[in-house]
Amino acid sequence: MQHHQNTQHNQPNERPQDPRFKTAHKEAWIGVALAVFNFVWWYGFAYGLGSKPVDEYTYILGLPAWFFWSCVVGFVLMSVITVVLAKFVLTDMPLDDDPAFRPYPAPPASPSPGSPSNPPANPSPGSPSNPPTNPSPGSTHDTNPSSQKGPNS
Amino acid sequence: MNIGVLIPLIIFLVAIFAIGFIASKQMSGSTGFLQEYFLGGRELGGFVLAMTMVATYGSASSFLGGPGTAYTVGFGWALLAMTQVVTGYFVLLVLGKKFAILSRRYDAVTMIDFLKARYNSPAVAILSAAAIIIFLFSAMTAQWVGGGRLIESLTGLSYTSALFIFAVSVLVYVTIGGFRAVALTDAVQGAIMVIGTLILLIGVIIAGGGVPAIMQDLLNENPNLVTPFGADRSLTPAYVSSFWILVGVGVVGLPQMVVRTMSYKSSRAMHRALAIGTIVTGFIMLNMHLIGVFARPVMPGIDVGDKVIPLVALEVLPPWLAGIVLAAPMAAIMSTVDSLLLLVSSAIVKDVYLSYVKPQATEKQVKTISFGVTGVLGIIVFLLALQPPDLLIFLNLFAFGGLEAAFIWPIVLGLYWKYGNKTGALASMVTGIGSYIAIHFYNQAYGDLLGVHTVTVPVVLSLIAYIIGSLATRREPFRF
Repeated sequence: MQHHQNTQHNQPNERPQDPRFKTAHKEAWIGVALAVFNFVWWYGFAYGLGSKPVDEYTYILGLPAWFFWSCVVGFVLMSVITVVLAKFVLTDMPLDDDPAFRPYPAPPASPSPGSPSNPPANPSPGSPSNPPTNPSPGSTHDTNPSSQKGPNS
Repeated sequence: MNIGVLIPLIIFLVAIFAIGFIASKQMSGSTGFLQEYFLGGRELGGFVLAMTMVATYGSASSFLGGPGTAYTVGFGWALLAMTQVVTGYFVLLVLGKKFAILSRRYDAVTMIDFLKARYNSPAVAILSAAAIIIFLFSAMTAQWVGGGRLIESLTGLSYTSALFIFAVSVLVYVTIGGFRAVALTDAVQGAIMVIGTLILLIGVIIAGGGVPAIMQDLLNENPNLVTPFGADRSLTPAYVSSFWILVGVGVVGLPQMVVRTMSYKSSRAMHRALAIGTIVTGFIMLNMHLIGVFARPVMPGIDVGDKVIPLVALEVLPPWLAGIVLAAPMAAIMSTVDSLLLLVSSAIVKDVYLSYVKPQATEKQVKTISFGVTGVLGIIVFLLALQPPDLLIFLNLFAFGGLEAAFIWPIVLGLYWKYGNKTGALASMVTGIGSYIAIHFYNQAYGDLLGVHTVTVPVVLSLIAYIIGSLATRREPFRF
């Protein structure tokens, strides 16, 4: 505790918020919206079609229609949506700490004994403190085919 | 038992062993031992990240308990299981890049490191560490029991020797290889789960004479089996929907998932992982629970739910193929156990020992302590699992729900709500765990409160506690 910064409040010179957070906040909301959509789809078909008397059930590929639409199609749909998200919607950005947007001069966590000293003030020499949402000319966001090809596993 | 079944299983164990061993050799000193051992140096790519999340999350209950219940209850339980598709994308999207950036900024290796930096409170850190150690310890023990039972039923060995084989194979690679070994073996284990479920589903459908024939058999036996309401119509929409919290969005509060969202190397790895994770989770859950449902007409009269999958695999597949398929639940159990073991170890080493016992430990001491704690923990779990508690799925869900209720808001709101503070976090954790335990016993005695799963009310209460606790004390914005 004593090695933590206690003076986080009333810092005289306010630094700007890390611009990457704006994108991150947007993407977190996408996650929430997707889950709500997923739930509505799942619930609507399951109990909309499944509440009928069993005699009136119809079957698709042998499965009860309510299950087919709710769980099989629902799953395929979510898979397609996440692939589209990953390829075209979500923004590529560096994740390294950018000292320009730190609220304090030094990171608040104490250096752990197992790791070498704190990250250097400027993590990679090639990336000065320009707004990091646009890391490199080739990889802004969306629809840029060159930014989607690189295998990165 | 059958030699044909054993050979693929032995090959599987040896392969996992080898991968773990190779991974341990890869440990470089570049990022420091703790980052390397407990976080794989933050170098996971998209595929391995997706697989380690799916495999860590998919456990004995997805492969044995869940399909066993689907066998008894019918399509209603398969519907319930599909709530888990959401975990594939939700955890990565919601914690997302902000968490990845902040965990780098704070040099966080464990979830508790993040909480510590965010709330600047030893009480939060100690309470979190205690919750993780207690709850995940019980979850881990349940999984080991599952692993031991599975080997016992497949090989005919005594439970003790089966558990011993299981314990040794997991312990060795986790202890020497750390997170990287866990993630890499998880990737292989995840692939085995995908292949195994597909083979078994096809085998069951063929044995049952095609899906329409199976459906006819189910209708003849009990039409309720093909409804969303369960064999005795006891599955209400409210109860099934409440699993969206327990095994769906609530998973975002599980430490074993949270730690994975700080382990990837780039935003592109995260994008890939959320697509792959969604597809793989959905595929495995759909297949496994359909197998459970379809197995009913193929092999009627199985009493113990956990035995449905092993018995069906041995019934409908040739022995060598059954061996490959049965490596899948084994893989599921191992991949969950290895992650939990390492997580509990990190809570002890990083969050207790290094924070409060010996902050000035040298790198060499940290190494010795890390290996030592991981190894000793494994041995304790082994000894506990020798006298196994009975209800596997029960213990597992108890630990899940309790941790979710404790951590979901301190993590999520801590990340996105700048007015959240340590009073709120403490109130939320205490309320979450306390009300979970209270409501658990209430539900056991009087039936489910409000007709929903135990986890629902505590998650709501802990949200209220977080907000009230934060607003009641100093309202100063936190600067990330």
